[in-house]
Amino acid sequence: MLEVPGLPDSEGEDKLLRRYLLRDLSDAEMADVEGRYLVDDVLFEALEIAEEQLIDSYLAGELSARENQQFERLFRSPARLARIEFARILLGQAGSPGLYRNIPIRSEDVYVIDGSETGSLFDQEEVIEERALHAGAQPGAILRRWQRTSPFVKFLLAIAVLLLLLGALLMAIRAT
Amino acid sequence: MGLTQEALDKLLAKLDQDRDVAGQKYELIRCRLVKFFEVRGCLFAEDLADEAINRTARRILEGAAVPDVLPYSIGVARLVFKESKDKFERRVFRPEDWPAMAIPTPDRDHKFECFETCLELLTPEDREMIITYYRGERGTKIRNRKQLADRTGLGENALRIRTHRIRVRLAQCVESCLNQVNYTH
Repeated sequence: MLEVPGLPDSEGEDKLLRRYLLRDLSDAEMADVEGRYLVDDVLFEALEIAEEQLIDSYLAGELSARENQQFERLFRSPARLARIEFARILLGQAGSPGLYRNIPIRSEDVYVIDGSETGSLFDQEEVIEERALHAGAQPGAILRRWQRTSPFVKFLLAIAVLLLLLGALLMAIRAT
Repeated sequence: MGLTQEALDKLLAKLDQDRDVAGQKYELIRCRLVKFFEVRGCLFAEDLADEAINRTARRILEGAAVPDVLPYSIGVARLVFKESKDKFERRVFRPEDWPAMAIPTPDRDHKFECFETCLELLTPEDREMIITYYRGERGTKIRNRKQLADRTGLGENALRIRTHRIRVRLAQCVESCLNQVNYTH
């Protein structure tokens, strides 16, 4: 197995970085982490990886209620929202379609463009997608929605269709 | 206050004699400072990072003893952060503040199209690695990663770094693709 020298791999260090990213450390501890992680190239990459993992955990609904609240308070800059959106697409397209639908709605994340409130980023995208589906004008969007539907839901839908067909067949047999 | 050419030149000379190398070091410092402000939940982390660099450059121009620019600029960043709540955080977002990926658009399919296009641009090995690494949920994902580590002969950390670097390249490609799409529409 190849390992990377210098990169912290202890569970304790992972937890420390997670707490740092959620600002769950004292000022002295924050300064200590920054004194090591912001000035060292290898450790800085570890910090970036820890942030990706935190975003992925958020999207997977794996954070505690407190962590979730803290995440939503801190991850609201445009660059960080872009990273969240990218992660959402990556995880969804990589075959974790359930994640795409299970994102906690960020009620606080109201942002402003040109002075007008537009609602939460995620709320608005959901609404846009719903409207497109109801308008029936975007077969591509429907196909993508189907691709992102969880296998369990697809299975239930298949069972429902089979039962309907079976019912129709029985009715046809009785009629003859 | 902005940065004068003289202060910028002094800063770059301090970072490295070679102007190109100095430019790379400048970007590296800026990236670290952006992270510093992002971790504190600042909405305009990039602007605050620029402010911290500008102040550092002015100190250098004024003749302050700055043995190592990065740790010094982090110290300056702490001061900027203390002032930031009143001065910088009351701004209104402008569309140009947003990366294309973060902008909600009715034509969301562009994001998926760009993602798929950029995925195709990866080497088959990288494509398989990133898809396998993120495939599945919880237990399945852990098993996939273990199998991937065994197959590639990479340790857990090395695998994390490899996929992180692929993810960064993919994200940059998607952002660039979205900018082109937005530009042409």
